Amino acid sequence: MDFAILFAVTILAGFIGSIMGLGGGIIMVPLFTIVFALPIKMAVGTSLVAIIINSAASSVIYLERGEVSLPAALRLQTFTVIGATAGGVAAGFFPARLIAYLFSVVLLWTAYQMAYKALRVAKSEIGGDVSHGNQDWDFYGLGRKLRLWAYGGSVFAGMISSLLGVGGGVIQVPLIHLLLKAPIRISIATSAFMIGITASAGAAHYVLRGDINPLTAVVVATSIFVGAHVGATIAPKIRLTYIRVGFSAVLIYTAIRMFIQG
Amino acid sequence: MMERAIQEKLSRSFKFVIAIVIGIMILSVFSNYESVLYSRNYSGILSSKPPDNPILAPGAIAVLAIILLPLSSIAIILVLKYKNDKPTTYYAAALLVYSIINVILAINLVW
Repeated sequence: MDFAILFAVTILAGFIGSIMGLGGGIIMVPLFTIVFALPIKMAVGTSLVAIIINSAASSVIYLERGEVSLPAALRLQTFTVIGATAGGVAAGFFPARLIAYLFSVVLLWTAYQMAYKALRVAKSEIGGDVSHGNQDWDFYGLGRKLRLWAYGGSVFAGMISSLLGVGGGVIQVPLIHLLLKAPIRISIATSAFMIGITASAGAAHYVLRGDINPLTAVVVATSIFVGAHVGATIAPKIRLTYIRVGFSAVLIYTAIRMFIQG
Repeated sequence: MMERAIQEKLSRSFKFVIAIVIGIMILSVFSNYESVLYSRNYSGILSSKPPDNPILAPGAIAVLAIILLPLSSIAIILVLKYKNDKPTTYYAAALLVYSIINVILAINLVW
């Protein structure tokens, strides 16, 4: 029974994660700790391994469609890891509770922006997909000022991620979509590619400390691979309005959770 | 090389790497999964008893392979190279170096 639940929920996590450019940790960590009573460190470590597989499975399909902006992904990722390192150093100097409260407000504002955009453009997108590939958005076409803002935003995203343990997708998708004005599908695909790199760096520490159950990780990785592959394959058939609204819901959920835990 | 061509090649190479990792994962499921990498005591979902000795079992090898997966993608980007956009290649190199340092630090932390 446990095995069936584990398999079903992680398939769902992979499915939702790949459609929205998230790792799925937001679903998996509570599942592992609450349902399966895994210690929190082991839950996070196992979830990180699953996130890598989720990212890889989605990225194969998104890369094939030309939806990943590699120049944006590599640049933003570099600044994100700088921020994450700085966040790790600064963790002792900042009150985590205050940061959690402030970031909850930022997430709610971002959710509002996403939902507003979804409703505003809903009419023009009825009938299906509007963006395939990179042809309608080019990273090189962005102004220097905007790029600098994005790099700064990535440093901030890395710091927040490191200070509060928030996954990359929740921050990166809005950053690429709202700040860099990339179409939502490119934002999601680029974020899906990036979160694997972030999770990989984190997971190395967990695996070497023994905070990963290899067998559980392998089972979860297999099921999340299926979910992510299916999700990324059918993603173009899902209306962008639904994706944006769904993402707003995830942001609101994360904000509330962070506020309560803060 | 143009970005579209890089994306297609990266996707193909990535598929190959994932196929190898999935292969290792399947092998690990059919092997003796009770012998895991670490001797730490924990209550896992499927593995109930801790091993007597730390053994590098296939399950653990699969996990390590999974962790190295994103690094391979960056390495592939480096091999393919952006002819018209050298900074992107430099960023990829920086990320690869960072990731390798991270893994080395993690190894040092434990062993």
